[in-house]
Amino acid sequence: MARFKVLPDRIEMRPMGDDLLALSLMQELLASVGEEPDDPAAGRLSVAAYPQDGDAQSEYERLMNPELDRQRRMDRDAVASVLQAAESGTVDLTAPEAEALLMVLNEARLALGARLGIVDDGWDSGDRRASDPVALLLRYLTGYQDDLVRALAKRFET
Amino acid sequence: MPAATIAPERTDAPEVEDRPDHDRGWNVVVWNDPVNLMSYVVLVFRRVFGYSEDKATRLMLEVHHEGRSIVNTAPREKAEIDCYTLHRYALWATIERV
Repeated sequence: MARFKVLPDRIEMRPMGDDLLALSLMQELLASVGEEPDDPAAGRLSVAAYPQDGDAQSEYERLMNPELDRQRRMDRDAVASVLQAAESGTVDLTAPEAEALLMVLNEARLALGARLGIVDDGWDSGDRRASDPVALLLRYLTGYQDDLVRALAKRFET
Repeated sequence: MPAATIAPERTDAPEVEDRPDHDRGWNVVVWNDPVNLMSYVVLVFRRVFGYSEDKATRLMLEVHHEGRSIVNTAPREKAEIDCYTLHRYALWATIERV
């Protein structure tokens, strides 16, 4: 049975295995980003649009960052509602809910990658960091996001 | 649509260098991040820019192999909106003058 079933008007999300545990850990992780000084995850989620131009970057941040923060909070709230509903079993995702889940998954994966210091390809092969719980969570969320991307890509083509 | 009018012939076309900033193109650049799934990046390019799967895949592979790819060129305001949207998807996107 697949985690996601694509239907004409919605996507069914079917929690399996440790999905809900991993997704709740994902939410906790994102809530913790930036709590510690020099958290690399905070830097990875705040990319400069104009890395070579301080004035342009300041103006960009003034215009864009409040809305980016607001949208990300809304995405995480939407995912929290989905996870609450999923405790009872299969959930019908609306298109915005599926999109929010997709974005939050990627934020979390990037935050985990930053904390693990991943800077090159091949991080997900072999036994590298096999016993590290942070790495295990990253691998789990990677598989989960891959399934969601496949479902959304299929829907995109219909 | 208004009726056609006769316009005076322009003889003093401005040099490109005289154009204000908003007339110049700005590149939206996406940089490689080893954590991002290739399939995710393709999906985002299709979503954000409406690219075909082939074009989105070509750009994704350029990001992967070359480290970066210019995914769109647009007036500055549009380039900033594109960059913002890519940041929403947590892609590593920047803007640079053409």
